[in-house]
Amino acid sequence: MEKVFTDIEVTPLSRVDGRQKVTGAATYSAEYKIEGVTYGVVVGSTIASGVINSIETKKAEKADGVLAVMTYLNLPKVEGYTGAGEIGPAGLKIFSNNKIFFDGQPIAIVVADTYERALYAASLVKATYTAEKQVTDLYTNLSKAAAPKGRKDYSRGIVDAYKTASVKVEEEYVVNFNVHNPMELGSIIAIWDAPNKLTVYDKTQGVKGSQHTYARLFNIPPENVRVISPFVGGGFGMALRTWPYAAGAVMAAKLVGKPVKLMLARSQMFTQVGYRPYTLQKIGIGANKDGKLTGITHHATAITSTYEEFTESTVNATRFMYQCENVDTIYKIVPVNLGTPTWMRGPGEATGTFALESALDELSYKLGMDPVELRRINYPSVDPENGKPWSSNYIKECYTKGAERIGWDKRNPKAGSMMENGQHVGFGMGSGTFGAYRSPASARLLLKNDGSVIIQSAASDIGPGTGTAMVSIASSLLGIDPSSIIFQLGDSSLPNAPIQGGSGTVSAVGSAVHDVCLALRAKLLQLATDVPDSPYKNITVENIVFANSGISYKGNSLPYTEILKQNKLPVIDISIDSKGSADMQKYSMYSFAVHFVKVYVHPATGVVRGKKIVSAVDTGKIISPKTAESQMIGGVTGGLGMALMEEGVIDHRTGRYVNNNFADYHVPVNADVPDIDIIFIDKPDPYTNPLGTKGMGEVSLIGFAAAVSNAVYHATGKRIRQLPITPDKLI
Amino acid sequence: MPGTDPQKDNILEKGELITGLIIPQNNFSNHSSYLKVRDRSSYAFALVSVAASLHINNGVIKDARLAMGGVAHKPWRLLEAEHLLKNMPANETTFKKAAEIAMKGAVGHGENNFKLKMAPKTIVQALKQAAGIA
Repeated sequence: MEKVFTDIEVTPLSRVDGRQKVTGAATYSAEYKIEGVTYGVVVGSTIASGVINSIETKKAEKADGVLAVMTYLNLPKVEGYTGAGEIGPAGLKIFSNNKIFFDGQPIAIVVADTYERALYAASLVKATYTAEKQVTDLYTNLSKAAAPKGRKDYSRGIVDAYKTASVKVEEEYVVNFNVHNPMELGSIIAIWDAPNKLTVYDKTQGVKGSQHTYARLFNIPPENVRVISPFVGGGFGMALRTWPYAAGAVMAAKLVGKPVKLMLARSQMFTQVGYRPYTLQKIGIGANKDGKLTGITHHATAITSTYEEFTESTVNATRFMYQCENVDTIYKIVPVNLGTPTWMRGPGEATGTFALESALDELSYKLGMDPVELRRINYPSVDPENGKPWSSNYIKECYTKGAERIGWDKRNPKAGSMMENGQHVGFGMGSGTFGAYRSPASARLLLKNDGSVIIQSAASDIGPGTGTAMVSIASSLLGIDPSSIIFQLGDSSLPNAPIQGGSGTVSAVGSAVHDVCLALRAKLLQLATDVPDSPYKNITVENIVFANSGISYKGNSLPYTEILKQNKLPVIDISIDSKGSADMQKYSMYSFAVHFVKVYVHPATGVVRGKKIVSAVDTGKIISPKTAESQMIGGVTGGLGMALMEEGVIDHRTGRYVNNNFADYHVPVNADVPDIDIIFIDKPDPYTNPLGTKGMGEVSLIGFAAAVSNAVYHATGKRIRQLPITPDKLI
Repeated sequence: MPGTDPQKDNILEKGELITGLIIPQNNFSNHSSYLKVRDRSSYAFALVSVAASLHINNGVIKDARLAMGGVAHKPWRLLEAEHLLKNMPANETTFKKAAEIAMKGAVGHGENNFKLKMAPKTIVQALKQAAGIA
């Protein structure tokens, strides 16, 4: 395959919407001022399994300002939603019957003229139930573990080959419930413009995906649904799908015949919008005495809801991260009485690499081999799962550069051997990988006769700086100052773009922007050539310099504004669809990350503090260095939370979260986050896309939890195989 | 203790208001510490916290105040340990004895069993910090 990377020089920018964000000018979904808007509040069930016998709504209905209390008894007739089946495009069809599948399941939405009145009236709604015994604990339902539909166990070579290895590790690892908890809560404003025409201001990671979900939910044409979401206050995966609460808000708007705004409470973020599922893993890993891996077995069992199968790629990286002839993986799910889980940053790969990379660390001690060296000697020169060449793979450079920066050479290999300032010191590392994709995307470009440019694509920005990257690309390709370029996103009426998940935005949308800029270049040259006595006749576009808002060839320069003027054009308007070729299938395309962590562990209290973090990543070419570094820092901070403190605690006696707030569900505070050094290998991938990029958002925390756990072991000699690593486990 | 009224966080009756706090003159100011062990560095409840104050003269503890947080419904003063510390040398051996006495009779309830180990270690650490020998 010919390489597709085109080596453009990209101008690094500060975040183009940074000023809007820090001054409060950025408008988030719940902040739109809508005439006649009403407010919806979700009432949750107080049992986790069973049926509703009765719902007392009269008091709420009579409360001041209340317009309606919507329950399964008075659901408006909405074509599509009210059809057969309990599961729809937005998951559980709440209000379609009286069944309860998890604690906090919406049983009513109270709509009132103000939020406070809706909230008060919601407190007056009381239900009676016939409760069944709920199970929210994986272990209780372990006998129900089964392979998800359509998912097969994997093996190559001999199954359980590790068992006969000269050196082996066989251990269980647990990743606890993690809950996304972005700052912005799940929120929506639903407006029925006509009986079959809907506008929603929606907290979503993909406006096009939401558009099609609402269209299917309510059986209306997609073009009758407009989803608007230009700013998203963090997502981490929770806004990858449309959830029941959003469907409920749209139905409530139908019921009251007015726009309904619904914003979840923080406590409802634990029950309504997914979470990283509790996952039990077993790793068996064996090597010969010189450290060459001879067998890896990886079993994972994760929880899902009783009404939907959620699956993720927990065991997949184990198949190709290292050279090993014998690999087998099994993935199972266990239904419990909780809402359906969903992808949380790094998704299954973050869970899976905690087990794999911890086990490798354990193996390194048994072998008496440096953990970095163990990985290095098991580097696969091609993808061992399918024999394909890597499109690019610089993980070995990540090992080298990361180790150098953290000071790995000063690490005494013996566990528990290093002290500093009265504290145990530990150095640990862990690796991660995530697939690099290029989804189809489209872009529209408008070059106006004042020289300004608008580029449009229905992409999202949950924080990584989508607009910044796109403006960088366009500015570089067109030779136009970034201040004259606006990138419009987050509106389903714009050209198609994929959902922002799986680290695919720059690859997909960036390529579309790249392609539309090239199309504009060709168009500009053609228009310049069409003029009589043009000095550009018979000059090919490759020989033209596009700079300073104009074209130039051998000293003949012509501003873009002049080209439009000569052709009497107010605007040049170009749209393009962009996608990769089928040739991409010839390569295995992945991003790689190697995380190095230095921790202190207090000998008296067991408190672990990160002292220094170095993450070296091969994510292809870096388009927007500043926002890329910020994205990495964010991911690493999330990894620190996953490793040391994030734990959704469920009281299995009631099936209810006991720490459903920011005081008790711990994410890192500033004081928990040490210096984070990001090293970009910054070498273009020749085959992923014309920009040479691979994804970054996910891989930023994949392998990170193991790096922390391995550092804690090195510091103390205690191996913690259940996240998070809190002081009670070390004392 | 609140007994069956866990919502009662203090002994204030209706209409009562704290108007002042008197700290008697003391000799603790040179040797005091507060140690809070928690799951994250800020904005977290104590797993165990210890407040320790020592009046030390020529290496001998003349008087002591010791209390724990995170182990009961209210701050838990360790009177027996305070008493033991009096007229003892300010060293780790003494502090370990104080911690042992402080923890006498403490029982765990499953999820908080780790505090039986964490609390005495934290007492020793806080006393060492107060004495300036941490």
